[in-house]
Amino acid sequence: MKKLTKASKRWIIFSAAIAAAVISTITFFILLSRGRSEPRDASGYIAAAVAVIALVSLGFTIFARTRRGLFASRLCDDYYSAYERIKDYLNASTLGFFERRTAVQDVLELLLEAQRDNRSIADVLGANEEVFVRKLQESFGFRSAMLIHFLNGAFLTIIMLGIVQTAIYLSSTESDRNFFHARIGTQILPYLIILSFVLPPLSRYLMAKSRALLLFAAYICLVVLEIGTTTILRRFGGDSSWVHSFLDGTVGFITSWTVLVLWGAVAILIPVTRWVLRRLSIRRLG
Amino acid sequence: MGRDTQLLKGTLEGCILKMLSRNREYGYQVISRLRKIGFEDIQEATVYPILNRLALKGLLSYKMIPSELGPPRKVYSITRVGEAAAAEFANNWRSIRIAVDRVLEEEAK
Repeated sequence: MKKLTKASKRWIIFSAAIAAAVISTITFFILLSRGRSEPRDASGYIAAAVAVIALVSLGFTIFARTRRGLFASRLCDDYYSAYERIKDYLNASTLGFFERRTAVQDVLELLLEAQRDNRSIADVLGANEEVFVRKLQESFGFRSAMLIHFLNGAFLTIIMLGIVQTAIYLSSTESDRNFFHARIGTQILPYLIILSFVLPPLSRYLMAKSRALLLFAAYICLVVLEIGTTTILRRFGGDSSWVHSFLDGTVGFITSWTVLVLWGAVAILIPVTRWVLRRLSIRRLG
Repeated sequence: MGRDTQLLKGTLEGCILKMLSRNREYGYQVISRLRKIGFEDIQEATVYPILNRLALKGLLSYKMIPSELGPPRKVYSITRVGEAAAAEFANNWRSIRIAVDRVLEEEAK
């Protein structure tokens, strides 16, 4: 096996740190709430699911970063590092999945050819790889990064709300449990929105810039923000009805078959809108 | 004036279309040929996005052909729309060249 690039090492360490932080936070909360939770409390199942997701994400990162594809493994270390950096830049771009795949394949072909001719990376890609990726991205047509990030965020939010409601429903031990009666805690809504709208574009940007430490800090800040806000609100705002309904209130999301159908329709409509925007941007190519 | 200008890009698009109107070629071949013709400083970073844009605009089409070196290559060929665009480029270029030559000649006098 070839040695890992610096960027890969950084990302594996970052993922391990995030997984460790998530699992230790969950363990801390479970230990803290020991004996206080009701027998029917589902938080244990949800905590276990989150811990499993953290470990699976870590495993995926290790797999993705250590495994070189059949053709990419033919690149020497310098070329492979450049290939990996370009892939990270492309992943941070507004290109769709298939566009990114095409671009990555083009870059791989180009680097293999250039390596055969013993050319330097700067000679092939220019002094700044980011500029090359920007040109490559622009060749797919202009699209508003804000709009794409908004659509991605909206898609993630509604998918996550659906998953959270399903998790709450599945972990309920009540005999007459009903999916449409499963309610989501209002407290988690702002964090779901931050998780969907802010963290993914920020993560991609910082990943492309190889700022693993800043990204780790952003995730830790979110956790600290949640714990801090809850603690402060409980301590100082306990009398306020607004604070009470925020901390202990629940909200129904998918409350009927009609809403479920609407939810499904929106979940389909968002990727379709993204696809239409891409087609329009290609049409507008000068 | 830097060589990576809009003028150069527009010219390159036309040249690439013209080159591909005779042969089918993959990206790296196109670049090698451009270098031999006289675009010595041209970089892959400039040409690959142009090929991609021309293909998306429907002026070029490509087939994925297995390569001994790596993943299947995109082998580009010109489309009918591309041929019309290449002919238009050639006409425009000739008239522009004549006009520019006249200006330069007059300035030299």
